[in-house]
Amino acid sequence: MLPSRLFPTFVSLRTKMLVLFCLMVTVPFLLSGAITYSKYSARAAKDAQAYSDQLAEQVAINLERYIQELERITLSLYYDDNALDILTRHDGGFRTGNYLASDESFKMNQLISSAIYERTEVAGVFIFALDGSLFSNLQETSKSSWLPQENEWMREAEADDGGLTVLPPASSPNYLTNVPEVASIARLIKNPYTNAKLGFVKVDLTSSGFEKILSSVRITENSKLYIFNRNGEMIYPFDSNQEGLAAGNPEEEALNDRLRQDGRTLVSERETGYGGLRIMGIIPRSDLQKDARELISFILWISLASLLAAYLISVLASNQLVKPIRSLYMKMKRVQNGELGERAPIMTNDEIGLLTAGFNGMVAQLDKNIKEIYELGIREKQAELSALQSQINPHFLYNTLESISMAAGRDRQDELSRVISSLGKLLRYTVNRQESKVTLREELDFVENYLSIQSFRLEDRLRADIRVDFSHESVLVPKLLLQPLVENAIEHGMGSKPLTLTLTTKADEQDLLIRIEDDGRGIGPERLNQIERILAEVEPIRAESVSGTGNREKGFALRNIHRRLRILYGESYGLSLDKSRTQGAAVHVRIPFQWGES
Amino acid sequence: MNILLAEDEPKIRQGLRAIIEDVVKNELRILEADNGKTAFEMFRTSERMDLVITDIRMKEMDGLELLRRIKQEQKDTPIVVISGHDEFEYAREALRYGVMDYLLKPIERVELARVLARIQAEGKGGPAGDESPEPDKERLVIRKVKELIQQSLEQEISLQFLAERVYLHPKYLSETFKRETGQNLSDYVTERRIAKARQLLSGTTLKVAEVAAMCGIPNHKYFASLFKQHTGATPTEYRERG
Repeated sequence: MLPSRLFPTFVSLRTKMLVLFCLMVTVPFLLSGAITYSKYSARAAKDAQAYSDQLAEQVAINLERYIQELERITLSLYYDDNALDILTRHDGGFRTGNYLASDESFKMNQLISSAIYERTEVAGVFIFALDGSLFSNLQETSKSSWLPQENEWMREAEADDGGLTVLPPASSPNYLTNVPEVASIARLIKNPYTNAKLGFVKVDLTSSGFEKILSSVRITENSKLYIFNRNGEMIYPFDSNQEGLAAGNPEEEALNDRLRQDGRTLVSERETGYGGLRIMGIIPRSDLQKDARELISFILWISLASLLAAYLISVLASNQLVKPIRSLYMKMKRVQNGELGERAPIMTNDEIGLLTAGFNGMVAQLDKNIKEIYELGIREKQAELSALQSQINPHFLYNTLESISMAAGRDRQDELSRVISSLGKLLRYTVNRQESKVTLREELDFVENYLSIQSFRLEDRLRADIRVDFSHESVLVPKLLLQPLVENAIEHGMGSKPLTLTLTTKADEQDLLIRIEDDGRGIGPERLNQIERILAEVEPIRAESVSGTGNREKGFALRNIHRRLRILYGESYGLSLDKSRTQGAAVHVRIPFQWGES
Repeated sequence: MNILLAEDEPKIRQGLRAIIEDVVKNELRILEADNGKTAFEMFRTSERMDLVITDIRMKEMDGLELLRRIKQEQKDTPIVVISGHDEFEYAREALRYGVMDYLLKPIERVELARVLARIQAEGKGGPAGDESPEPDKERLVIRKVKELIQQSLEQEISLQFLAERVYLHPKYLSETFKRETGQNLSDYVTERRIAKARQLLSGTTLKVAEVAAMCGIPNHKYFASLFKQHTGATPTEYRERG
């Protein structure tokens, strides 16, 4: 279809449009999706960081207040003289198996209970006297004495020297039954006056207090908050094993290390101004990206949907575009095959419409031109003919011929008279073109008239021998078939020697063969080939051949008869030359054996 | 023989007269007229005409009008029209008035001679004797030709073929045969062939195509068509009928 040199493969306009449409839809969508995603998730991380920092700050403040409140419990001892008295009384050397006086125990109990009133998260408050006595608000469930090896934390509290010590969750040994897992705050009790060591106070806390503070704070679904004490030991949540961290110090570092290693989390850290607690908020990045992911999948779905829509639209649009082009192409093909009457309907009002209109105009012009040239030829012929007919009316012509003939006859010029008579018949036969097929007899009469005139001209140099079986005389043949062939034979065969023409017919199956041969100069092999080529030409007879030179017309006379026969009877009929002859020439006419039914 | 000649061109009139004089040797009287009106006057006033020869286009009164009037006057007068026109209209009208022949200009001497001979023969009620100086020889030629045809039915028979064998010009042979037998040579040949075909069809069991070939008509479809024209039955039907 297209020159393959320029276009290696044929890619239809539709395919190109489809690809273009899809690219136009997908590329911007995916690009904007990717940009949105990265921007959005970065923004989300930033926001989350700020938010979690803020929260950690808030938590730190709350926690600090909480610790201060709890501290007040421990401090209440300092403002209670009874408690100080009791502790002073018990500051002797350490021993086991101390007996607690019930009034002392009662007083202490009352003191503590009033301090922790309505603080449900407090599991218990213990006051450790130096002689090993243990006071508590829990009368039945707590021990009444303590052992130094069970209370390692005292060294730390002692080091703080009256400051607040926050202890990580542990099983407290000071309970008799139902030993709870508690975090504690503890401090050393000193005599406010002498600054002498009096004992220790320890407040055991269940996790509910922390939970209350932290529960209101939740950044994302999987975010976590950790609280560590000064030493990096985990205060909250209580069960450090749950986090997959090995128990032991310092847990904060371990957690930090792990978080920094995987990098999949956002971390916010704050330290309380009081109590030395550190708060660490951890937000998994996946939580942050969740929204972005949702957004991205949303974008992907939309782009998929619009891709589908674009495909459909492009199919429709390309149909709209390609259909008129296709139909135009089809029309062009038909015009190419010579159907000049074809016109393409203008379906769209755009460039294709213009193209179609242009095509129509072009074909119409072409058609018109061809018709004009063709019709002009015919008209000219008609004009010539009618001019001829009007100028020389038959009456005038034939009467003139008759006069000449009679004049000749009167002078005993019988031959002349005969020739004139033949000429008249010749003219009559040629001009009367009413029927296209005549009997072979009529055609032969015409040829004989023609030969009679020719022999008058050529005298002894022309002899004719017509051998046609009587039964062939009624076969129908195209009018004016034989005379041009005879004329051709005389024209080309006549040399210095007399020429003998022989016309014979033969029935061959359902065909009739007419053979016109002469013993003249013959046809040279070159000329023979040329004639064969002319006969083989498939092109229709053009107008130019009609007005061509005389020399050309000779060859065309054969071709015109040949083509006429093929048009009338089919491809297997027509003229052929006998190439086997070494002398003279022979033309064969093959036509179907047809006869008029009478 | 009385002949009325109506023709407006004197040269043609003279020529026609010359031909007639060549053919009709004795008791000839020719009346000439250069238009229809004069001709009709002559026809009415003079004695009975044996033949009227007229052109179509003439001044005063044309040939067709003349025909009509003569036919009204005397119905059985033989008329020959000689015309440069071969338009169907003229010919049809002429034939309606019962003309004997319609010759086209320029006429051939032989054609006119044949017509004259026919009229002479009809007028005498038998074949013209005085025209053929050697009647026996003529009949001999015809007999020879018929024999030749009978012997050659299987092969191609052309006019040339016969003419060569009787040492005559083909045209002359054709004319002579027609004159002597009243039949065209080609019709005679076809007739003989069909006769032979009938014989073969009833007398043998040869195939129709073979019969056709043996009768010199190798195209058996054409043969069948010819056979039906002559006998009213196709070869197969003819054979079945016995």
